Amino acid sequence: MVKLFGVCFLITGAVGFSFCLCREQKIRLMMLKEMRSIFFLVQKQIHYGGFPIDLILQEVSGKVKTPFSEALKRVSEQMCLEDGEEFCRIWTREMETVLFRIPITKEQKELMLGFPRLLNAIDREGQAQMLCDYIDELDKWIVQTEKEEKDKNKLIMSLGTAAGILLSILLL
Amino acid sequence: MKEKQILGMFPGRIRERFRVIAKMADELQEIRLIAGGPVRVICSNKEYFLNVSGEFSSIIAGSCWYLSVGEMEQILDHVCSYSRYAYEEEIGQGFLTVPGGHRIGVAGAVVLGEDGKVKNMKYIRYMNIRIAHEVIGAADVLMPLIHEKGRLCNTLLVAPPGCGKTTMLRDLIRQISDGSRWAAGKQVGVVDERSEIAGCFMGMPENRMGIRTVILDGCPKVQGMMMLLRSMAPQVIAVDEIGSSMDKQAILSILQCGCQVIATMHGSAPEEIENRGIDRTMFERIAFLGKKDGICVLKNVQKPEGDMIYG
Repeated sequence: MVKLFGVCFLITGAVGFSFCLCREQKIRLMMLKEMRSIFFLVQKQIHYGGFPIDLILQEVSGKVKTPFSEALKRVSEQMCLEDGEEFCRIWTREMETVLFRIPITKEQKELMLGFPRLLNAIDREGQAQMLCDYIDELDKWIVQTEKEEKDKNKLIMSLGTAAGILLSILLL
Repeated sequence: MKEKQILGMFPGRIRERFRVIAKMADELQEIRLIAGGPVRVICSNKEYFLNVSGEFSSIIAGSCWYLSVGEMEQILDHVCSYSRYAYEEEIGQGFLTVPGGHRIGVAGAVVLGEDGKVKNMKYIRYMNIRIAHEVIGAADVLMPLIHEKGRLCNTLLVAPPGCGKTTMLRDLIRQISDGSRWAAGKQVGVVDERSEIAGCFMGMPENRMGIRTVILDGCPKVQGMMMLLRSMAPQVIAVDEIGSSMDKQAILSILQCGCQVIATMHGSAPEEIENRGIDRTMFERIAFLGKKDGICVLKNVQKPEGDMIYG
């Protein structure tokens, strides 16, 4: 009875561990989609409204999920403080605290941190187009991550379950 | 307040260098920036050069601050809230208005639109920051002269540049709108083509314009006057710097609708009014402003036929 209980516990543990690994993939995908939706909303606001970035970020912060929502709000608030701090510094500081906690690649983090450098177009059309290119890049990553997620999830779950069974047999 | 507004135009590190000069906000007239050139400030009609520690002197010294292209870009990014695209139209017109109603004139490489008109500007390497000075009570002397038995007369203010036309007009608008001992408050519509009168920033006037004043910011004068007339039913319309036959036609239309007009124009002599295509008989009072010992003063006020009622 104890052995059976131990086997069940071991297999459940292995499956649970695999599930955790899969979940990380899911969060990565969710965060990439969230980043895309930030840039998409910013792009629309620039294209149709032509508002300055502090107002846009304030607006967008209410439309995206945590943790980006809070970070965007803080960026917008700090820009309005009028203490002269450059947007690039504020953005980097606030985004680094968010990106540190989420499982995305270094390249994807750099894309997010590089956003202030993108805001150098002299007209709305140009600026909106530059953001379109950014969104396209994120779209590619999303498609790639979605594909990877499906394949990897199957593999991880199968390997996890197999490892659990194998360990149980060995230990028995 | 003004000191804070002046410092607010500059990003962090550059801001420190303007701390000393910003303390003299009331005397400060202009800050002139040229990429690669010394930073100059015009204070009480005198030119000074700023050095790297923020001190200023009337001669170019070794420690004089030569503004780099990078610093110019930083200042421009900051005043545009890091969103140059949002100021496309303003930059295309050659100036930006910042909180406090201060104006930043810009110059660089012009971008032309398909119609051949100036659309935008890139490589901005010249900036002229003009500090707005609102003078409450500037029109006190003029107010009784442009009222006749409680009725406001159509008035034209004529002066050479830098003699306080816009300052006088701004205070006139405020007093007419709020009401004064000469007449009750009136609905005033202002067409502020270059954001100089009200100094609007994001649609809100930064100068006191009176409780009954409506401002059409950044709108061409002729169109703006007709728009205000149709949409806001003003009793008085105020415009700055008229001087074309189209302006004349628009003013005539306004007068036919029973609306009063307060306008300004460049000039220093009565004959210049006609030379600029404006019919002086459209106005009931013509006020000439000028400078005396460096101070802007009201020189004289005439009726259109030339009868002097002041000065």
